[in-house]
Amino acid sequence: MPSRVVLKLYIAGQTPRAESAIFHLRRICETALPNQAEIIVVDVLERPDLAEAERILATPTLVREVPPPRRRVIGDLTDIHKVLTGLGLRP
Amino acid sequence: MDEQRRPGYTLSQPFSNRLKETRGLMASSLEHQPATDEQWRALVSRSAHGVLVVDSSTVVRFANAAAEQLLSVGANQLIGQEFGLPLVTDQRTEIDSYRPDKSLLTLEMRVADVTWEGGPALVVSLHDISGQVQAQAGARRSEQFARAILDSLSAAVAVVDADGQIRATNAAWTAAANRHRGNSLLALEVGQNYFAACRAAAGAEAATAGQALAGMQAVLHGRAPSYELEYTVPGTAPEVWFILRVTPLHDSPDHRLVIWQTDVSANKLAALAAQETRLETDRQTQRDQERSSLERLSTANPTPVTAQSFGLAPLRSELPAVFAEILQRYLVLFDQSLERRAFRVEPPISDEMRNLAQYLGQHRAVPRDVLELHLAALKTKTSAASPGRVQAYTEEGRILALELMGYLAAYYRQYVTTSSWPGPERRPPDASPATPERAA
Repeated sequence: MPSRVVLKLYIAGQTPRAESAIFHLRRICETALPNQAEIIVVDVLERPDLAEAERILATPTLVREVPPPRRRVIGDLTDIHKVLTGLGLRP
Repeated sequence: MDEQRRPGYTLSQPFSNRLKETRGLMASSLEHQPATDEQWRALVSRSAHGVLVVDSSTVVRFANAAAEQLLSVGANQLIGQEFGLPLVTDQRTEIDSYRPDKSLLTLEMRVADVTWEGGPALVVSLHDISGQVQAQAGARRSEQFARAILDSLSAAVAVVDADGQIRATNAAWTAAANRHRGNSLLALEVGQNYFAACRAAAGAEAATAGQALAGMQAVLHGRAPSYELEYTVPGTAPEVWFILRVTPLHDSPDHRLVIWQTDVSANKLAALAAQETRLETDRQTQRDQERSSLERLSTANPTPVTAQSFGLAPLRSELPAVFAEILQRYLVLFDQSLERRAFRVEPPISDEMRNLAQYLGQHRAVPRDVLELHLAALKTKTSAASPGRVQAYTEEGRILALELMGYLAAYYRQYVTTSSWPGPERRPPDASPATPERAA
């Protein structure tokens, strides 16, 4: 398990779906990555340039920035095991 | 997962079902004939649903025109882009696609495993459900609006179906039900049966509940346009009153009823107080009339019979000290008489009454003197008394005066029958008696 993880969550607006994604990501970090995960939330409606640069197609999209290589998942973040597996963070 | 093996790709069963939904005709070829890559591409390229194939690196290997449109990407721009590992629960989830104008599309995303060009891959199906989501949001807003209207009503409202099942209640109903747990017509919640509760009501509430049930049935079956019942909740102090109204819920397919309940205790108590005030005014008028009559009787010229028999002036003016003494004794009797009424006790007032009548007789008192005595006592007792006490003194005083009058008559009758006439002369208490038993 890496000592430092940076996760960037792309959402679109302050919708219930976006809030749900943030909530579940925080829960995952508190549960599986305590004191080692940094979360960055990007609203693609406010920062379309960042979404364009990252070529985000839809939201919520979660990108593992650190450690490399970059990995991304899209969709439902409620299942902690699927999210960690998708991001390659399962021990 | 059940899988159908095809030359060129493997299609999982749920995704096959999805394709069958959207392309029924083509689906038959999927089930009965081997599908080639070209056939499959031709099939999905014309689908109204967006279809992507992403490889194990989550890079897009295939995308149809609908997918490009839904993700706001130009033709052939998706191929080679990283999509990300699609995560779904129960085979589906919802994602947002943002457009250049900052509007959002809500897409239903479904995922199925396939073998694509010899390797494992995922087929991602995207379906625009924005309209459906907006319709659902509109329905929710409409329901919330209706709920807000319902909750803003001060009346307690419940909606029941034709079987009596409570389908909805508003906030006022819930609050009133919590306040009046003993009211079987109100302490009910969604899911309970109102008609059954009316039938089950027992004791003091049974009659009211029976009337309410009959009224509801009448409205339900169109025999009455509406129904209204005013009822009191048994065992409440101060008394609690409700008005129950029943109206049909218009345009409801299953003949629902709306039950309105309004707590009218304040109005009812105010009306009862006004009625009591009117009654008290009437009683006061009656008392005033009674007192005026007594005053007229007591101040009128002596009747010829009395005047001729005794030639006496009123006791009050002729022997004021005696009158005052008798009045004090009479006032004590007045209070004892009231005690007898209030506490239903039997104090020994008859003996004192007889003694007082005898004392009056010894001073040649006549009925007019008794009336004057009674009037003076009534004025003394009622000058600063409450209306209820005034009424009690007035009513009890009548009996007392009659009783005293009776004893006085008995006193004089005794002399008539024994021929021991006390004589007409009246003397003050300190004077020597002119005849036996004339003075105290």
